[in-house]
Amino acid sequence: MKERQRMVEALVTEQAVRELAHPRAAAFRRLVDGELDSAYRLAAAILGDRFEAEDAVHDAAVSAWRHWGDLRDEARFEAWFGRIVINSCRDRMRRSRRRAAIELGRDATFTEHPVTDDGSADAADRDVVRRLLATLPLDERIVVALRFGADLTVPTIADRLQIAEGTVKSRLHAALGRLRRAIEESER
Amino acid sequence: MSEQADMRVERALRSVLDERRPAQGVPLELRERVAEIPDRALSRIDGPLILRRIARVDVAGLAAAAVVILAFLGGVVSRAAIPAVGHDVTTVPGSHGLDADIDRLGLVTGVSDDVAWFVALVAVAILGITALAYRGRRMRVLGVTAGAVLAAAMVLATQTGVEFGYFWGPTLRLNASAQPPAGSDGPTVYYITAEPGQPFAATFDVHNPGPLPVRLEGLVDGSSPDATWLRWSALWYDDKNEGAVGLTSEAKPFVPIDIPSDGHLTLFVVGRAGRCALGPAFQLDQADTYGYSTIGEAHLAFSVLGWPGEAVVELPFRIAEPNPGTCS
Repeated sequence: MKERQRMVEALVTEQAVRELAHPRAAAFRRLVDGELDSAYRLAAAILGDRFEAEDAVHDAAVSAWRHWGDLRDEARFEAWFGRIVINSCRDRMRRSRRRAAIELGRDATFTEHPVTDDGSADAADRDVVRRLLATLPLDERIVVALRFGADLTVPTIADRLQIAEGTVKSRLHAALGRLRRAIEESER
Repeated sequence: MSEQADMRVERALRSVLDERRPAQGVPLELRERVAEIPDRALSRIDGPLILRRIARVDVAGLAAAAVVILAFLGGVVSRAAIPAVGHDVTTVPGSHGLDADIDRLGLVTGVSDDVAWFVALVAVAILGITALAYRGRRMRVLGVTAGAVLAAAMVLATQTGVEFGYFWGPTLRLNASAQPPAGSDGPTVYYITAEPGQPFAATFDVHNPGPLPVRLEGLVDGSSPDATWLRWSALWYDDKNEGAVGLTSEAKPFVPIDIPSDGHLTLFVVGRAGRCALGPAFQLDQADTYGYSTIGEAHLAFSVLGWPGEAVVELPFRIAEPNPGTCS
């Protein structure tokens, strides 16, 4: 028991010494750890895949560590890291789109065997949205995920994406229009 | 109707995106992987990248900055000032009057910029390593900017110096009647009429043509104090004369002094006749019968932003010591 306590104390001391020796690493761990949950939710909302989201968040954390010198103010970490996470997701989506283009027939199979929850109208709508979401232009898909998946406000989305609020609104409008038309067509 | 449709789409969207929301928080495994990122990055330091570890030591960066500042502001002038001998020399402002018997005043044995180059190279290396090691844009910009400023300062410092100004004249035991030989456009020759070992003096002004202030450090003379040949023996100055021919009564014992950009400084150079000098017996009409030792330039030690340099000031006159040829 004492032996175990000594080991724990040694580990705690080692960690403390390491953090003293590398204040940058300590700051990184403290700030990233505080944002990990929301970053993970954000990535999951954008990518729609738990494992992809994990990898995207990890990639974003690696990128944040590499570019730590660019962070001028720790108070801006949330927005800064959020942008990195979104860029990481965007990279993954681009790569998966290229893969999808190579894996011929994947989308067709998906369309031929749609996932349905039940027989209700809402379920049908969800089915249409689920299918169409993957075909939306990348930028629209990200804006939709940030707005309705991560519940971010339009100004926050504009800040995260470094675009004008008007651009966010127009992308949302375009995406919702596509989805609405798709739902209407599915009812005919 | 359209509003209802939008609500419907939004409801469906939120529902689909809710499905994507992870039921639990971040997996522990991901949290651990992220926490390990700094350790992995730091443990990748090996081989030549050991330099990265050096760059990360803030003390090294601070030391480099301190060395650079000391080098440029403190003046790393690798020279050996020679203590004056002879009469007491006072450097109290206002004390003046040329005393040519004071030997070794304002002389330096030589100028070397080896230390300055070494310090600059170390500073550039550390700045470069810092800029490369930190991948952040801010650190890179900082490193590159500091390097550029350092390089610009070095270029300016090494390209600046002093040159001969406008005025000159004999001051002590020099035959001032001598003119360039007939039909020659050569410089005026002043023949030394001092006894062997006695001092003589001339005056001229120097000009700083560069954009930076130049600190005059002394007159370079590497000869031994016991040397018995023609040599420089002391340097005096007059900083109130604005470059005109100086009066010996206004001369002050030399101390390192700054010459502003485009500024002038009147100098008095004192020399000692060699032991074979002919002395006051010299007659101009017999000039062709003697051999001569001559001095036609003065080597001045200076520093710009602490960077040492040596200016070879071509004098518009020659100082010639007639030698009867019977001395060995």
